[in-house]
Amino acid sequence: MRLETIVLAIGMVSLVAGAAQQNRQSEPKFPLSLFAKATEDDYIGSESCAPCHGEQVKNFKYSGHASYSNNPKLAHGYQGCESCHGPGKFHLDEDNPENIAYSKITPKEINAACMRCHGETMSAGEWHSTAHAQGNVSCTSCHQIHPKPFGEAEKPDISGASNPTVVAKPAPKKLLKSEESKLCADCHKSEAAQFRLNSHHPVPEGRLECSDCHAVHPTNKSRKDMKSVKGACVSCHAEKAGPFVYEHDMGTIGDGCAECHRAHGSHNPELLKSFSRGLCAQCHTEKATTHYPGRTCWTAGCHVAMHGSNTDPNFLKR
Amino acid sequence: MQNRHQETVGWKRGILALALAVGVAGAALAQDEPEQEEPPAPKFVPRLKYSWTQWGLRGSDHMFRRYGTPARGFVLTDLGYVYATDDARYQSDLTVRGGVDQDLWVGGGASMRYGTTRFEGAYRTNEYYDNVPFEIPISKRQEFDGRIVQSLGQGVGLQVRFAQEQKDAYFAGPREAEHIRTRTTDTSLKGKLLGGTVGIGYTDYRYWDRTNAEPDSEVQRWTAQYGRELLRGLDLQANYSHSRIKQPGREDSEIESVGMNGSYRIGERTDLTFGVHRDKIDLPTVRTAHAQERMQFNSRLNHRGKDWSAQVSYRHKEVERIRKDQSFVDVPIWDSVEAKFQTKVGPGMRASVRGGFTHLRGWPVMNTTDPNPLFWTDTRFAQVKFDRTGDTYAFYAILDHRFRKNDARLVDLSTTSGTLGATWDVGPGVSLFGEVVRETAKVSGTGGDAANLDPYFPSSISGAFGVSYAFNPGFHATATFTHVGTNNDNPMFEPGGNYRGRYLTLGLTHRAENGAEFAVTYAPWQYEDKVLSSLGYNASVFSVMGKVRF
Repeated sequence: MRLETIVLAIGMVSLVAGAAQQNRQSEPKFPLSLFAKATEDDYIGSESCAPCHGEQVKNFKYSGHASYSNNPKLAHGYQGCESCHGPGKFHLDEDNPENIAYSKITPKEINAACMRCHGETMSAGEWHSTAHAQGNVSCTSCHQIHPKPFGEAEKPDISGASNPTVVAKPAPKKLLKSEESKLCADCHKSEAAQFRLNSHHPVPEGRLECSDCHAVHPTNKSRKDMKSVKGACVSCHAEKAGPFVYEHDMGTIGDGCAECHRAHGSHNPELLKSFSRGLCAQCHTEKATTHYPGRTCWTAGCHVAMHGSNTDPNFLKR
Repeated sequence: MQNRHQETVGWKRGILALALAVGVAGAALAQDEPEQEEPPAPKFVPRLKYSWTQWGLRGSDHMFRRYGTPARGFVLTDLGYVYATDDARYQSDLTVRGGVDQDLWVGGGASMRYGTTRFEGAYRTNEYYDNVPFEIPISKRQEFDGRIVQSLGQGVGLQVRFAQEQKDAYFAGPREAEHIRTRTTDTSLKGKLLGGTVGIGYTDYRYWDRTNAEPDSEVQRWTAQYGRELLRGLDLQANYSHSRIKQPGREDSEIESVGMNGSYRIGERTDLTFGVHRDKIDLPTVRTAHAQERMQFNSRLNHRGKDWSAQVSYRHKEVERIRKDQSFVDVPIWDSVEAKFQTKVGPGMRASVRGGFTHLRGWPVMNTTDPNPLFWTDTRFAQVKFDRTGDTYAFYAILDHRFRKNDARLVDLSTTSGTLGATWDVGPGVSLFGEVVRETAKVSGTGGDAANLDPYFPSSISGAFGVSYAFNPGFHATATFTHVGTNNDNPMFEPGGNYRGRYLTLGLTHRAENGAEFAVTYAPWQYEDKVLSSLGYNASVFSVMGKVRF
């Protein structure tokens, strides 16, 4: 009943707000305004850009975008350089040159320009609801549009000082500015620091990537569908998914696996939040001293089916 | 035997589905192959990386091999190739890593875009040892993942995916070996409809346990979502999913989810995001306490100023929970408020403050020895971040404090962590890096057993410092030192509770213009377990590595 009430309330607010907003509808903001006011004649083709921007035009063909936007069947505003930078004729206007220069516009404007095409698979609303969008992170913070030719992008890596344990690095994805884990660590420094601890998921070793667990884009939802049964963890740790006859209730009420584990890294074995029986005793306080097994609750050989059992309500066997 | 039969049938179905999708894709292609310029010729780039490493190990082999340890002896660190076009229209790769008595990893994949169709396939297999001080069988994992993505025109796309995993993992007792097979078949269609985006999908997921300790599971999941900009500035998306979980000899379980998310741009700088979500969970096989319905509402107000932004969010969560004896339903309710403020405080300087709390109402009654609730009744957190970036340096500091409290059981748990880090390009080719992280935990209570918990919550400190010097663009040296240690009362004297690791790594690397690389590494590493000295080790790792790319 409460859900229906909330949905109804949201619907009402939306309608009222929408009606109010409609009354003050305005022209599209920059950079979409450039495309809105352009006519077919304002698009002059990528070949017109080459005399001044030769390097960029040359490198663009190495981008995954090239094979899509070079399609002559597309509308003019979705072809070549002008698909991202706007109509070329406006740029050549000596009195008032206008174009979309990504190094000079705001993150919100950058994202709006990218969403012109990527809105088909990721709506503006989905993007706005992400933490990255709300943190003023733009698409070009992580992605490069003019990559160097394949095989020529690498430069001598002298960053070993910041990541000394790496034994295998996955190749950077074509449209990312650098190796994924390094890219994420540029901003998420405290999370990156946790991977230095003794027990950690093998991200520094190159066996996992941040996006194996985190949905960076809402479009990754489709990849995560299976994981939503009991969180992202069970896609690798499938044996812990259940449902079990005797469930350890964490998966449906608390933070799930994160009630006991620190996903990035921990100074305790097995990525545990606390050491030994302290982990269990923080909830099961009545067992803290009265139920003394000598070792941890599971390594003593008793509660070995900690994640759930099909045969024993006290998780004494699987 | 029946499981194996099902698996075989599943493989056939998967291949059939892929073949069918290929046929559909091919038919579509024949009609709609865009006229494009001649595709660039693919490049074949093989690579070889070979190394020889001596451990110089005295002490525990088990602990030394625990995390990312360099392989010993002559090892094929990386043999493989990439065959690709510059525009990623076609790409394939193969990688082999391993040694004679070391972990083995082989993986390869191919993707091809032909007109409006993209084919992707990848296969990985690896053999690895679990870190135990005695001999157990080698664990093995194999994964296959293949998909076809087809654009059907008019903004509509179809994806068919088939994935299979086979894992045979062995551990030290009392944990039993795992022999797991999983298979996922996934079909989804997404496109434009009535000015919005619509998507439907079906997933079939199978899980087999060859040890027969756990029942085989089959999950069938339907999903549907639709989203559109309803009015200017107001985006709404609705989604629905239904999962049916089948296990032999048991009643089927079902999970039904319905939700709606949206965002509303109140103004140029302000927007509101919100969502409401409900799950109905029918788990007839479960005999212990579990949730049968979850409802969550969340909203977040964002405002961006010129050099600052602020967010305030509220989350409400209700769970209808069946008690352990199946006699009654509890409805615990969590309310959470969180706020964040971030601003530029000067040229290249940013600061953010974040904090929040969660309060639990309607404590559930427990059918355990102690009927007090097991859940935290109040949690609070605060986080302060500061970073400054200049032309030649970057500095960051993070302070994070979290507090959890169980009122009924009189337990307070607080953890605090502080991170300080910096990088500095001292001069041409010389850069320094340093980072220190200190974590402390404290548990207190005014009665019961809570006072005895604190010794089980260790504190830790870790630090990493490094310097690199590039003599020229192709020749550089690095030195790094990492320290990790715990401060733990460890009243049961358990191994792994009190340790100190010190890892010094010195490296010299030469990289030629053609990508060939030669490196020498010397790494005196030390790990000390203060409870069980036999778990400690001293290693003098010496490694020579050569890498060529043709």
